[in-house]
Amino acid sequence: MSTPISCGDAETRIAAEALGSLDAQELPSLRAHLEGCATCRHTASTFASTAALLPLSVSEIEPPTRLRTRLMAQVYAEASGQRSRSSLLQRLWRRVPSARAFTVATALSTAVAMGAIVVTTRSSRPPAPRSQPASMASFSVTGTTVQPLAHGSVRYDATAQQAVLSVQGLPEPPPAPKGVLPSTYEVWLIRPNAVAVPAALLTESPDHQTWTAVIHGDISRFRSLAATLEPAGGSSSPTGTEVLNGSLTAG
Amino acid sequence: MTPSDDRMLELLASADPEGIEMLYSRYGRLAYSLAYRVLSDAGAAEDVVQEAFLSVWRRAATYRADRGSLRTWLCSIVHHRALDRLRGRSGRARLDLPLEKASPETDASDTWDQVAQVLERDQITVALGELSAEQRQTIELAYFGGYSQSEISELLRIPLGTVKGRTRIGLRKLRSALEVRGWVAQS
Repeated sequence: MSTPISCGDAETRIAAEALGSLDAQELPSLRAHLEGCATCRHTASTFASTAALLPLSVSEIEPPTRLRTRLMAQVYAEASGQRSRSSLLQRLWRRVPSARAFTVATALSTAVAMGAIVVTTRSSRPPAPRSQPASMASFSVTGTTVQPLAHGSVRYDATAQQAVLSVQGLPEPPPAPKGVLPSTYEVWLIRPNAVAVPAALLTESPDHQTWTAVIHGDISRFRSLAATLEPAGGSSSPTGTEVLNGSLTAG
Repeated sequence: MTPSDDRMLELLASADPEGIEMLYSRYGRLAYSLAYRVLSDAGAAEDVVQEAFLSVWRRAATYRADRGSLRTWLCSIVHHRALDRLRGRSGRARLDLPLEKASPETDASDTWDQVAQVLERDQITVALGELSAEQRQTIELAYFGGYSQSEISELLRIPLGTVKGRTRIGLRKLRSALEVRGWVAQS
């Protein structure tokens, strides 16, 4: 049973939930409180409506044309499948008037049987683990004294052998002289013997809030990750100032 | 709901692909921008947006007006799926609460709808500007970064209580800033 919480505590949790950041273990007590508190339910509705406006604060970028094409191809395929099924059923219905009762009974019993199978399957399936799947790992990265506001995370999918580095608080590289390409942030994977291996270049998001890089391969062989400011196009070994680092070892 | 929402819902409820065409034309860019903001990955953002629109297509009959406008519903699906993808999970338990009624919106024509969206965009930007940098950062890390409060506390190396306070007060301030200007109904 969850521990009762006050309206003040509930409001704090409601705000987090509205943003999607409530720690999972706090949800049961919040649910329990909301069941009995109309005032807090109203607050939850208000906060959720407010958070729902946040997408409008994002700088808009044009999606690739293929996205609409892919989406509509799927939609039309499903719509056409539905029309085919419905016209098939209509044809069957018209053709076998004497068997309509049988047809309906068969359809119903089939649906019930399938529902029973689904229910059985769902109830026998073990509940999904709340913690991160074993193949996923997260590590935090922080700015050095040169860039103390920088911070971010590395999310590594061991199955896909792909890591995504996401960083906030990193300024744009300083402007370059005329005719010279601007510097770039390069990401390095550091081996246990301290050798730095070039991994990726950070890319800035259109709204200038986030820098990201996708790193392919098995990063579990490396002890840490770092980023430095390098000439345009990157370098084969670090030459510039280290701006960011983080350990890649668990614990 | 706007008259244009009604029309789109009508089409979606009758499984008419034109409903999704209209929805995508109107909100595809917003949905993609939101997904990209969270995921910082164009390919992943595309996948999430496709899944979200398909979800609307398949579940149009489950839409409830008390969930807010179609735009709100769509963005909510995009946001949740993007966060789930970011966190590498198939989903987590959430509250399922009705939203308050949307404020009256403008006329059905696309031009006015676009104008309304631009105005709303300005409104939320101005309102966010009234938060302190720390409150804004906390809200952005939570909503767009997908970080839990514990993770934000760890990332920024500040007490969890401070994160909770910034979140609650920041969201309250955001709401007040919108209410004071009459951009949302008084709560």
